[in-house]
Amino acid sequence: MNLLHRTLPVALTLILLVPADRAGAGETAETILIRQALEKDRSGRRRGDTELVLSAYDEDRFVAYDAGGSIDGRGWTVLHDSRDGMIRALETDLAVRRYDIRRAVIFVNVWKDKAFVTTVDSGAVIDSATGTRLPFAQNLLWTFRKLDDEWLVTGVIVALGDTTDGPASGRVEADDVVKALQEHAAQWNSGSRSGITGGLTEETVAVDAYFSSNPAKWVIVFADREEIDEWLEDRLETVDYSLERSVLHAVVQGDEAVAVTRDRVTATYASGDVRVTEDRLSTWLLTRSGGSWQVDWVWWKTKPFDLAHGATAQR
Amino acid sequence: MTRSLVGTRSLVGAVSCFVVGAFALGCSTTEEQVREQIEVLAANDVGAERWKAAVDDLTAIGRPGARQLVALLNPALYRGATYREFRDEIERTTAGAATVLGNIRHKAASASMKDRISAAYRSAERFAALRALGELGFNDAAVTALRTQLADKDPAVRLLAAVALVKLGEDTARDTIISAVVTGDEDLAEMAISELERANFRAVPTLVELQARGDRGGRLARALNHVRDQLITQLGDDDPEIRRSSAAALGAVDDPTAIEPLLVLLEDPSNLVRFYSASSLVRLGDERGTAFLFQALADDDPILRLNAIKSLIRVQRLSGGVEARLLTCLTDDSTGLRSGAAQILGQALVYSALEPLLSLVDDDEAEVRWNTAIALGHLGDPTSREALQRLTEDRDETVAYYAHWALRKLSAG
Repeated sequence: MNLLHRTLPVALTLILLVPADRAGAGETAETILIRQALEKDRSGRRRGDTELVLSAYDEDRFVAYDAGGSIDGRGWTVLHDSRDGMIRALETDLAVRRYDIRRAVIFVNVWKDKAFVTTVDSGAVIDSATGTRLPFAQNLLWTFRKLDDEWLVTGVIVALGDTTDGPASGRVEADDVVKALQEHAAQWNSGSRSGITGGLTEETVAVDAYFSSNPAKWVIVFADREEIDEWLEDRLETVDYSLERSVLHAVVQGDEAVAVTRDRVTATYASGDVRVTEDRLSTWLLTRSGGSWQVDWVWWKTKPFDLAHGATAQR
Repeated sequence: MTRSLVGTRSLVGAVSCFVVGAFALGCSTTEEQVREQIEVLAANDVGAERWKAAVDDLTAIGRPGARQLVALLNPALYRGATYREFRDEIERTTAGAATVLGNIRHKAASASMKDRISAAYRSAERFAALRALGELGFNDAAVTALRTQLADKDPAVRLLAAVALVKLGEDTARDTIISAVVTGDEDLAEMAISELERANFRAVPTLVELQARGDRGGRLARALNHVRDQLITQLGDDDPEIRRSSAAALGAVDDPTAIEPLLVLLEDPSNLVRFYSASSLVRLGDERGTAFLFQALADDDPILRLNAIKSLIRVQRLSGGVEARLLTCLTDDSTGLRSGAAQILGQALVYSALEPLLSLVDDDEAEVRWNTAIALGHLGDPTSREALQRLTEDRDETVAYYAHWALRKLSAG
């Protein structure tokens, strides 16, 4: 029996055993690469291999956030404000625990060289000393950027809540973040393109959440500052914005911050009579650079949770 | 020599620059015009004067703007430089783009358009896309998508889907339109009639049927007059298919105003236009149409005869207006008239022709006998069995063949 005849049944069996979600209809070359990066993280945690985990992460920038079991940004805080902090925590964690987990990739949204992904991890966490297994389940939201044809994790929001969760209580603890966000709103009010983009990092990603807490409905609308700038060039000539902003949540750790704002946006048009007024909640991930806060990721139009529940609005 | 070469090169260079520059300028100008009008759509309520003016301007630009408009139909493209953050704004641009693409009959938009008619979209977007789909020409995917909307909970969506199907030549949903006019509230009935007014020749059978029912007579009469005037204007269209369809529809409008313009088309360069015009003239009771068709029936040219036969079958089925003359033709000296009349009377199922047809089974001409056999087969009357049996023994093989065929038809009931 030749090699082909001996290996063909095995190959066919293996094809049948591949989980359906590995070859989903919406799969592209980019999503396959992103899955590979996520698999490095999972596999590294399973084997206790810190190097393997870190190989999936961006060397220049990585921040971890704790969503506190909430999809509402008002429940989010900074968990590790640097890659080094994350490495230390990871090494400590993997020295005493091993993660026997499966990872289901729920949703991937890619736009140009940026992406976000939601995953559900499930399985067990094993105490290395005693061998005790405890059940483990966690929703995560990952942010990615593509660098030299490789997708790298730039951030992870752990303990993400369920889409059906209610609102979280916000805390406004960082006046400088509040000031930066109010200044950013003022730039919109004055129609200053450079003022608006001045508050953004070069890699700023903007996501339109379409007022939904379901990440499958979220869409990355801008992949970097240049793209936002290009949009603003035409947009500010045709639309006049007026923003009233309240900061509902602002917490800082080191040079990283999370904030939530409530904006009443009014738009009038150069070419017509329509006037649009819209209330929006937005979740901001910010980083301090050269002493000033800049936006790294923003989710516009997040789910409009009832502000009567848990908001600590400050003007 | 060198100077001349340099001169020639610089001239070529200048001309090239001018051509490239003019081309680039031309492209960017149209693109820029379209972009400006899209911003007007975005900035004004659907149906507002400025919104409608932008639709008109984009319609006037036509095909060169189609690519930018089709892009507006795809929600996935509202990102990056083309991002629009307000849902209302997207609704206004989508509805505008759909309306323009329908106006310019941009068939390539059909695939995107059919996806915009579902309940996932807002009413203004759905209405515009439904109206546009009816203008983009028949395709299976569009018809399937429209049929799905016939079950929508919004009666206006059901109505617009039905009208779109009628415009695509699918009459299966006419009941939805008739029901909207007869049993719908005032708004829905008015919407139905207005939509029919805009549905051109496709709307005529439905409007005529509605008028015959007697409900909303005044409004329907105005709608029919509007369509009639449009059809008469279209008789002068450059496209022979538009002339043909308009001429055909005018036959059903039952208005003598159409007679004179239809008479002009009896000299049309297109065969089909001439014959459809003649058919409509017959339906309108004008003898000149009848004379045209019977003259063609007696002609030696087989194409003219074929067109005459088809036209007379259609006229007889629709109005019964040529029955007496066809019966007379069965005894005419002309072989063409006898055989043609037999063929028409059979296919139009004129049962009063049975006896005269039976008298033709002994005609001297084989062509007349086989057409008689076929006609008797169509009529299916058992009393013709004996005559057909006799024809199975006919000396002409074709006659015998069709006699057998007709007998099988009789046996099949």
